[in-house]
Amino acid sequence: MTEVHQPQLSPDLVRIMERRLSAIEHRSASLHNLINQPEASPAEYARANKELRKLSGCMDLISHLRTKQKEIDGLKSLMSECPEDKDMLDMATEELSQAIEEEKRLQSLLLKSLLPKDDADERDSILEVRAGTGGEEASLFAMDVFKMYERYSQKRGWKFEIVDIAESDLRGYKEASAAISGVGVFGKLKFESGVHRVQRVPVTEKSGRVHTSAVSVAILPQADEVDVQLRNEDLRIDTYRSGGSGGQHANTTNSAVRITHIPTGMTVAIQDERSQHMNKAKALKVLCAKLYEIERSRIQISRSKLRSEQNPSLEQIGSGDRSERIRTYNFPQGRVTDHRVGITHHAIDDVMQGGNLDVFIDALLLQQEMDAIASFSSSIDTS
Amino acid sequence: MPRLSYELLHHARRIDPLLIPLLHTCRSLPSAENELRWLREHVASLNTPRHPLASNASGVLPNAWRRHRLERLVTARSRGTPLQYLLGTEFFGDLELKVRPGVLIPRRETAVAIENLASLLRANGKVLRSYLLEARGDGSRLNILDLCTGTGCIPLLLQRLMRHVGIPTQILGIDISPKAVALARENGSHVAHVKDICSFDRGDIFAESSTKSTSPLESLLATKQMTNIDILVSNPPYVSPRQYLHHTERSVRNFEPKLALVPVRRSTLWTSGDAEENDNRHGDAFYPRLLQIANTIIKPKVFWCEVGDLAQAERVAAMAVDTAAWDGVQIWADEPAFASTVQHKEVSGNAIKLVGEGHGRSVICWRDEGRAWLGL
Repeated sequence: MTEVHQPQLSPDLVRIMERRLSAIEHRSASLHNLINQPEASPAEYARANKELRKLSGCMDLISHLRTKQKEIDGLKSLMSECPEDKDMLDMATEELSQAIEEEKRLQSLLLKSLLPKDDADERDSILEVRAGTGGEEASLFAMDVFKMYERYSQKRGWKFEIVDIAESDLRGYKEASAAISGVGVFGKLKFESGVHRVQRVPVTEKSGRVHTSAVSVAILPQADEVDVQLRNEDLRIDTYRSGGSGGQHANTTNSAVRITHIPTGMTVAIQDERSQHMNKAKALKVLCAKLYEIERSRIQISRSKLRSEQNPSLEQIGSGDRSERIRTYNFPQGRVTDHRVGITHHAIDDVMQGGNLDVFIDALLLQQEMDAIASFSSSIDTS
Repeated sequence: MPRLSYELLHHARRIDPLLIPLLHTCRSLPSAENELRWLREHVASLNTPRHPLASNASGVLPNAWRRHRLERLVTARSRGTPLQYLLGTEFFGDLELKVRPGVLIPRRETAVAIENLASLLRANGKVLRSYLLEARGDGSRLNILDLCTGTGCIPLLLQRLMRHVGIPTQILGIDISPKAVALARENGSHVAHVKDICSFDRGDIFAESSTKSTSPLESLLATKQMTNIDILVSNPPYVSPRQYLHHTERSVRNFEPKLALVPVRRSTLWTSGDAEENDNRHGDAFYPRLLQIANTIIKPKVFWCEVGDLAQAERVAAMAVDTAAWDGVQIWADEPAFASTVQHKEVSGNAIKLVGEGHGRSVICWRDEGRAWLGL
């Protein structure tokens, strides 16, 4: 997919990148030097080795690029040396154009590897869908949206596990959450966070008027206890206790578990499963994801502050701001519009079946890449 | 029981009419909704029987059959049948065990206490492993005996939790009820790991031998090669007749086996004293015998038993202190892992620790190496 949307590299960008590449080459060479010196201390040695390993992927690409560039130089000098030999010239021109193509491909690959990556992209995710304004109709649409992601996950071969569902009176979803796991889940779904608006004639509406209601979606990268440094003493786990003396006297089916994270006061309650153990495991999963999200957004805010100080014209999409209205589903007109990339898709049923979500997701990913390139070149210029 | 409000019933009917009968037993809407969903999932997982008059290959009207089945289960539940008997299973820790009428349903409080016991043993796993190696040699196992085992839940969970930290166990569960033994064996073959050794047998722990040389329990242990019991656990019947009438849930009284709840009266035990004291003694009947077994027949380093409430816990702790056979005695509440709340109780002239939050739930005693195993 990334091959298709290969951005054209401007000469400026290439120049900036070249500078960065030679810096990396320098660094790599000096690290190699250090490692080969017998007097290097074990700590130095280990540190240098670790850094080298990090650079190795980039260095492979660079050495490929250098070979290509030498080849191009060779071909050019060949062409200038014998301008009379027509056959020779034709052959060299063809090879030159191939080599230049290859050089461009390598450059764009390198650029991508130099761009800042979101460590969370490969993570599994927690999906939360919450009915917003619009009463029952919002709950019904929340259910539709939840199922849309379920189908989308199935199509991508991801595992979609329902964590908890709070049903409304008409069997819509007041609130629903799921754990989605598979390859690159968060990287794909992260732009889905925000307010999704629906315009349609609700089943509850008798006079046939179109209503507008809203559903908020949150995609949280899955984290574990280690990521968020969860300590046992920070948790309070409450379970249902029977009245009377309990034990043999009573037999309850209430397996609800409520976990309170004492430092933040955040609570997660799960009561879906018959097994208290499973409820606890699910609640911990959600809690970890939420705490991780707090941590991430704290870092993101400080980062984007830095960026906007450097270049105030840049605006980041997919910031995960859940109050941002990101998409409208208009049933009477059969369209879905994403407000961030300004794309409208006219097969709403396909989208609701989880089919054509990629139209939006790919566009958002592309835009993110472009933004990253823009901020990459601006950050080099200022530094 | 307070009447259910009209608004609640009306609201429930709008969601699903089947919630109304369930509310009579569950008493709260979230509970009733959960139970209805679990029953529905259970019915959906059943294979529809092939109707003799069916013309289609998949059996006749599976939806109608399922609906009918669901309604029958809801009716049974509304009359108080425990949900676990209807579904055929109950969760105990992370085990899913079979349950069946005639055998007591495992309780969450029991699982919590057993998990706490296991986590103490696991925290001191090194000590325990080196003890096993020194005292019994290579490849030896931790021997656990459970008296009044019921579904077999306690030893099976202990075995599972200890296996996770690489301590192999040999467990034996004994129950007087043939139904319980059969069910515990099923559960054992269902959840135990291939490398685990678990067995369940029928036995009456009160039985005395006619020859007075060896008790029936002793001979049973000898045949099972369980002569060195390290840990004795038990959740015996502990409800007194008076509590049974006034303080047990209707569903427990009407549907669970009284044999597993109330000790069978042994006429020789009580002759004098006032009515309340006699009632208490009746409820406590198993504990003197368990302590006697622990001091004469087998000599476990750790003894754990469940009790009904704090008053009973204090009585059992007093009995244990009075035998002078234990180095330490503690009372655990429902949530013993909340160890930040520790109180002291004066029992038989000794200060006994009450650990955790909630009702008094169990009593634990240790001696010799048992102290190091538990890290207490």
